[in-house]
Amino acid sequence: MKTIMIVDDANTVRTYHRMIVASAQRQVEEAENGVEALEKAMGKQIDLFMVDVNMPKMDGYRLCQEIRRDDALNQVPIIMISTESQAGDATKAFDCGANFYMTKPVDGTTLNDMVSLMLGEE
Amino acid sequence: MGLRKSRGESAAQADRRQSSRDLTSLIDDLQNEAADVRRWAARDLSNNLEARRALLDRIDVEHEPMVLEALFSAIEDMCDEEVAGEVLIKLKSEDAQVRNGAIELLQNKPVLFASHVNELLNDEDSDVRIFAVDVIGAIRHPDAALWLHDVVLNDKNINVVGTAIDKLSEIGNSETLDVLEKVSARFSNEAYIQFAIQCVRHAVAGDEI
Repeated sequence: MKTIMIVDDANTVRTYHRMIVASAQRQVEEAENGVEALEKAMGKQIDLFMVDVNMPKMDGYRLCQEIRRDDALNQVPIIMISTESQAGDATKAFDCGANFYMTKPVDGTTLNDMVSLMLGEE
Repeated sequence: MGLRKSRGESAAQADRRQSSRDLTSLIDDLQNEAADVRRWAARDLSNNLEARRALLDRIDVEHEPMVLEALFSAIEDMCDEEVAGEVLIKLKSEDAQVRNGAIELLQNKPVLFASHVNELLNDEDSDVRIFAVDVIGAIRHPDAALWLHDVVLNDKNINVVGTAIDKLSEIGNSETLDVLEKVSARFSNEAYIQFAIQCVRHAVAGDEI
């Protein structure tokens, strides 16, 4: 069983993304911001982070940086999902340690394919 | 169990004692290389109208979260129209901490926010419109649902509309379901909007998704 952590301050977005990626082989954890995500990830096996950019307390860019600094989490892949669509946003996400960048609203098939790839599923 | 003062806090208090607390010294301290000194300066400049400009300017270059928090807190109680105008500009900051500080300040000033809501909801930057919707969702203003209805019926950006629908699941009123019927027709091919509308319908009915 793989564990995906969805980090977004909007409940509807978390529920939508959970609906897309949850399966018999994947369980989903949710967090409303970066601080909560790091707290919930402590001591747990997380296999993939799906991270929003604009969130209260700790935004997605900073969360990416914190994950990459954490000995236990720094190899976990990160998909950053943002409402922002300006040219520099994807670059900033990659600079902060994201492996992939998508803009909202996500296409369900594309997200699912990317999650499969990141989780190394057959 | 008693609380122990951290070494950093003790050092900051020592710095604070050593530094003069007159206006000029405190404004100088906002540029100090020690974050604790900058934070104490911001705290001690709270509500000091003569320090307003220095506090607002420091927000633009400050990167330490605890200092930013102190800076926003310091200007909150002297947030008149002039300061509000500057805070609105900070919603466009590249620094998410600054944007969040501005959002939180506006959430604490619903009357002031209300006087700028149309300007924010018509901003050309869709992210600013999303931040405005976030603030509307957090304040308990009597016109909040009305503003959100206007957004979902008229804004062309799907993420702005999606955020507004998310907020309507919490603060919608008796008219919301009728409004969302029209929104559903506007975005009939958008899976996320259809899903978000379903969430509101379930929330109104008291169901779980």
